[in-house]
Amino acid sequence: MERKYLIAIVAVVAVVVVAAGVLASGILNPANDPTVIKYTNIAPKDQSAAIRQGTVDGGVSWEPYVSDSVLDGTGHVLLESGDYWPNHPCCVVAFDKEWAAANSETAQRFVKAHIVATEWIQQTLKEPNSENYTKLMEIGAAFSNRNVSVVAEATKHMQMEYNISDESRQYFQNYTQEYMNLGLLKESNLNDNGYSNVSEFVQQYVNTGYMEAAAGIEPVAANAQLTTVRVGFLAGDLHQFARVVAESTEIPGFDGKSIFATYGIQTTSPQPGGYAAGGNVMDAFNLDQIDVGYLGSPPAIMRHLQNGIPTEIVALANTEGSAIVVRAGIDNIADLGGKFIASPGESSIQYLLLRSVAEQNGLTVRMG
Amino acid sequence: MSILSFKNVGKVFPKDKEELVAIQNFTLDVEEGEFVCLLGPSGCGKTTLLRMVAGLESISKGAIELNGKGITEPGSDRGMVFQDFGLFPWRNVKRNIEFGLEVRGIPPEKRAETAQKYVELVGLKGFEQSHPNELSGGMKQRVGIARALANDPAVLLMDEPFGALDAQTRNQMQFELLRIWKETRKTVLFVTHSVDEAVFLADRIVVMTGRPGSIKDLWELELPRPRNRASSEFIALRKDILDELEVQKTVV
Amino acid sequence: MMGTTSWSWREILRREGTKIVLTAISLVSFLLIWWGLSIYLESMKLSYLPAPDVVFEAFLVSLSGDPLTHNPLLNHIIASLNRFVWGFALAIVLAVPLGLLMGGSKYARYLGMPASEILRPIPPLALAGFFFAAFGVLYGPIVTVFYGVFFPVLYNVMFGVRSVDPILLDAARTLGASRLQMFGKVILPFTIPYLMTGISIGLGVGWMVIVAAEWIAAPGGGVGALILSTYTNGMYDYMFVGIIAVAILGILTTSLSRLLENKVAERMGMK
Repeated sequence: MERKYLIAIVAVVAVVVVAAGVLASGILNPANDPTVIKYTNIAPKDQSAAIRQGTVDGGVSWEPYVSDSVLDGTGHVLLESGDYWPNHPCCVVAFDKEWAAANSETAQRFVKAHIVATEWIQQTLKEPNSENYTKLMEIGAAFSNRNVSVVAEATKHMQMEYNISDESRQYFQNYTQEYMNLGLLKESNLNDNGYSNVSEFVQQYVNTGYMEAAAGIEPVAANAQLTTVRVGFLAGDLHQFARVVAESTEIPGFDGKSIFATYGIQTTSPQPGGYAAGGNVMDAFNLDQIDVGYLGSPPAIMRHLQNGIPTEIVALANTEGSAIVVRAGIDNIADLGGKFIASPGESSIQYLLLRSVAEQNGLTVRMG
Repeated sequence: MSILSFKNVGKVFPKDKEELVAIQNFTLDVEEGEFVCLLGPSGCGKTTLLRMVAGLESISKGAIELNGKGITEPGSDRGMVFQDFGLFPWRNVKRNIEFGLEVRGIPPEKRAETAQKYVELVGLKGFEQSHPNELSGGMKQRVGIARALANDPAVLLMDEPFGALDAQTRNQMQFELLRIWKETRKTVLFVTHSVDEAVFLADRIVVMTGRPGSIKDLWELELPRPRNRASSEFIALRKDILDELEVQKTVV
Repeated sequence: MMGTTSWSWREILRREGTKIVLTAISLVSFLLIWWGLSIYLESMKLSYLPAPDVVFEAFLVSLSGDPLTHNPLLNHIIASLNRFVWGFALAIVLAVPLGLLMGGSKYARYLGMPASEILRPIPPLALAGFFFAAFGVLYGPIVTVFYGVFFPVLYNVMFGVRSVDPILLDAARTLGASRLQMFGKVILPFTIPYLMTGISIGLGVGWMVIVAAEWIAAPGGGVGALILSTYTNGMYDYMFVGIIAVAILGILTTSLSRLLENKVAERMGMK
């Protein structure tokens, strides 16, 4: 062997391996700080696997993935969002403001279909032995690619709700304030969009006018022309069960038509598999790819203020239904310090929940 | 006594389904210290013959013996100088010359000493640390010669070593080669297609026929060295050999 | 010494004056166009291209942690480098011996080529989902980088071995080298500049791959994760901090390797 080159190759390989080892061993990273919760973004559907592999200590996600992790024994629920924020609004129906104004009747019909579907789910969940219940579970399982027992469990941890109560409005204000406290939104974001304070913003951003008008909407004639509405939604998110049900042609009592079709609506989506996070749904609004979005209320608020995306919240989709799931050995919030938690992405209510809970308990949240 | 003997040597290359006979019935004895030129038209197999001596080509028929032992594979008892130099570009002059000593496991101090001797023999003192790409063609071939000699081979095989050089450098290198040959008293087998070069260098010229190559004629050169290219004997001899090759060409 | 330096500076300026002026014009106009475009877009109520000064402010904040990820920029960079180096090291360690083997033995080549000819044209990112599913979110990005670097190195080393000038092998044989010695003293050194070329290409591919791979998942953070998170939250100023960080890292590594490649080729007298 040409000694010089052999030595050079060995030296290069050795340097690379040592450098990699140093980097991997975490010598350059500060030791786990017990006051910091480290998080990383992992899609909810992959969180269960990540906890099992030991990559993360837990995850914050939406239904049905919370129930998924719990039922397969990966972890247990440390905190349900409903315990921390009782009755908090979660996913909402948002409209492109200009589209809704220009197509107000279609917008009202859409809201009506959403209300009818939500009420049907509410009723069905009260009758767990009915055929309708079985049907609902099957629709949910097909949409989220999880089995019916996971869907059944999931529906116990959230409420399907369309009505925007005063309590909901108060929560929207709280979310906005939370974002400002976290430094993700500034006072100037309010002012730039023409709002003088948080309460005025929520006052204007929530528009219940379509819902009020929807009370007077009747099903269209059997042969009526359907109006196409472009809809964006989250991948596999059961919080948006009403949309899934309204799309289904298998709901009894609607003559084999979907609830949307019953009210003269036909939906399309630029991303039929759904978006990964609420932020992506807002981007679709921004690019004028959708007219209606089902997404978490925090990203709907955050991105509207952050980037001036012209949207409005017109109805709720659900309340509660998010949770922090952790592996065995983590038993209270304080234990989360120094742990590694998966989150669906920063433009999600789950991330906001994690950060809010952490700050309440004197912990900070950092990507790590 | 002869140091290198070709005994009825033949070379056959497989070509498609037939066989291409490149060399046949080549018989020759080379004396120790002799300078023999193989001269012939291109394609006559003279380079193949040289490569067979080097052990780089197999021998199809007959045998080639060095000091009475048949040649089967390359060895350091034969040094070869290539037309395109064949220097290792990543090694400097000294380390190129040391290559043969290195692979034979000679200790470094001894290697350096031997290399230095040959650096000086070929007139490259001061260029020990240069890389081949920093040298002119003539200097490159000096390295090639020194490298082949460093192994102290029994015969030096030279395959058109000055073919890639310009005319002036070429003449100069011929002088240098004769000087080196005189100093080392090596047996040299030198392949060329230049009659002028052969007449200038050789003790004996082997004129080869076209394919299949065999010996057409042997010329013993009595001209004293240093030979004068302008002398009437030189010119006459060159003309005679040239005529012999020309006749052959028209026949071919 | 100082005198010579200042003289040579003047000399450089005299010789390279036009180049320096044009380079300066190019950079300044790039900055001005960026600035102008961002002001124009801002006036159109489009916020996706923040002005250079806004990005610079965001950069300063990022040093101690941006408001979104709270992770200092340096940590993101180290996390990305970490994945990069692992994937890269793995690729070199496997591709070099395999390349030498496939270059040197035609049987190894017959055995290895069909499989690598099928796998090589598949963009690493097309397989990223598979790697994440198979190796988990921790090793998924590393394997993706590995895949991107592996083939350029493998093919360049193999090509290098096959490009060895036969005269050099003949020369080595006549000088008495054994097969092993020919490999170590002729084939290996001859292949090194080709290896360097493979590494250069691999580095470029590696950076492209790591950023996108980190979009899927990046436990421990990473520049790609920073870019995606800030993008989905519409925090474009911080997104550009991430983009510029990747650009600088890419420029640094590729120019470093190109420099090394040239130096090696020069040192080895093969240029």
